[in-house]
Amino acid sequence: MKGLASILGILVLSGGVTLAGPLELSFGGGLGAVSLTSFNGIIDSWNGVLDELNEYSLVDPEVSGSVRNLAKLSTGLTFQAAEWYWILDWLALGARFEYETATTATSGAYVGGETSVVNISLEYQTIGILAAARVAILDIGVRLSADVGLGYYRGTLDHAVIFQVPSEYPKALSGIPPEGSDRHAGGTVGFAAQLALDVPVMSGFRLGAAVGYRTAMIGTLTNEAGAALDLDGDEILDEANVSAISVRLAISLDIDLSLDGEKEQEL
Amino acid sequence: MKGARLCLLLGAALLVGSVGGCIEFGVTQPQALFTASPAGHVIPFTASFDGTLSRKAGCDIVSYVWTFGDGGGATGPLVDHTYTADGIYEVTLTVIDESGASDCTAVTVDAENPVPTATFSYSPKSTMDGAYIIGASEWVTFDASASTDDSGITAYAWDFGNGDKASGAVVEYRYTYPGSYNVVLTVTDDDGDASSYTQLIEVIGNNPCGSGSGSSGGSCS
Repeated sequence: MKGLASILGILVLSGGVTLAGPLELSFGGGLGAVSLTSFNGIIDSWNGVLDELNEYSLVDPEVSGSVRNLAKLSTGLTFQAAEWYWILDWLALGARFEYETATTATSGAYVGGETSVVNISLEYQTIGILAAARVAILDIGVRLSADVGLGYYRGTLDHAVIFQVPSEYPKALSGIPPEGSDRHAGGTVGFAAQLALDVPVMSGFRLGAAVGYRTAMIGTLTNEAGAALDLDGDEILDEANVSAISVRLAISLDIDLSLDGEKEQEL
Repeated sequence: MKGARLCLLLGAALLVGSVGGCIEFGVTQPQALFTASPAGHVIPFTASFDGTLSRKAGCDIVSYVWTFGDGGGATGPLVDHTYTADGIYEVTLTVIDESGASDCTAVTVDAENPVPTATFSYSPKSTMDGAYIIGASEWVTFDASASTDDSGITAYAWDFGNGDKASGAVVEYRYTYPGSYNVVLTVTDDDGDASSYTQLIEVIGNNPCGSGSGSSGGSCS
């Protein structure tokens, strides 16, 4: 995987030399919705445990307090930087860097004979670097383009869990989150595609929006010691489905690399 | 040129469509969750298991499958199970939703071994002023066979209160000196659990050292 990332990096750096057409740099940011189905399933389960304890604290006069549910680890900010070399007036090759983050957290306490603390935070980040191709579907000032890419995605999950069940709780409850904090990371090859619409706002600048998605599944995330992620302690390793949909606003900068200072003609 | 562009677009659309079908946004597996009450008790006892905490947003759970760790099993959201043998048991619940997706979770149930009950009787004995007495130098049979345990007692340990000790379910012993002695019987079962039973024994008679009857044990100097 690191080799693929290196090749993509070299492609990006050497692009200006190997392709002498107009260069377009694009930067964008927006909102993303990432799948992370296994993590969100675990969050569902933990919320079930919190619901049970919250209900218990309502009926037991000796215990008070409640802890709000964790939100799904599904939406967050996404950023993207890309460079395109228009080898034809309708076809560009390039590379794209993506960054996306999603976080969720909850905290609180149940107070009885002793204070039982609950403190959970999960932060997921994805970094991707892709080789991509862009096709201009329509270019009448307003430009509609579609692009596809293939590259390497690396996901990182930082998790910290403190979960103390009130000692007064009279039953055994399954699904109690295992306590601890760690960072697990892993990578995989993924596929991405997006539709972008942009308009020139001044010479060399374009403003636009893009809707994109990717599909990638990181099978195993490991910590520094090489231990695989088992967030809920059920002895089943948790994989990260980092498939995502994103909506971004983007600014594009056109740079003319041709020697005579003019865009190359269509081949 | 337009033909090439169309082919490219068509290929990209097909690729997008096929890959896009693999994305599962918002689709989650069912989550198995349950309570056990009690989670630990001396056997035999019946534990109740409640799997109705299991959840699946927008989809019904159609099957609850339980294993109780002792070979037993059951189905249904609310079940009871009686444990008759001691041990640490992992109880698992597997839930299956309408789509066939499943999830499994577990808790540990501690079925505790009952401690043995120690008791003994002794004979012969006489009654004096409403209390049982035995005579010094008289052979007395101490019988612990009425002690009980669910799986059997493996050891009987006697402490006659004067430093003398013995073992066995039935032992013969005689006190040399008159006095009051706390006889302690300790029984141990095959799980290593033990319990004790103590009786105060009054021994009367002449002190062989010539000091007459006494109220406490001793030895000739």
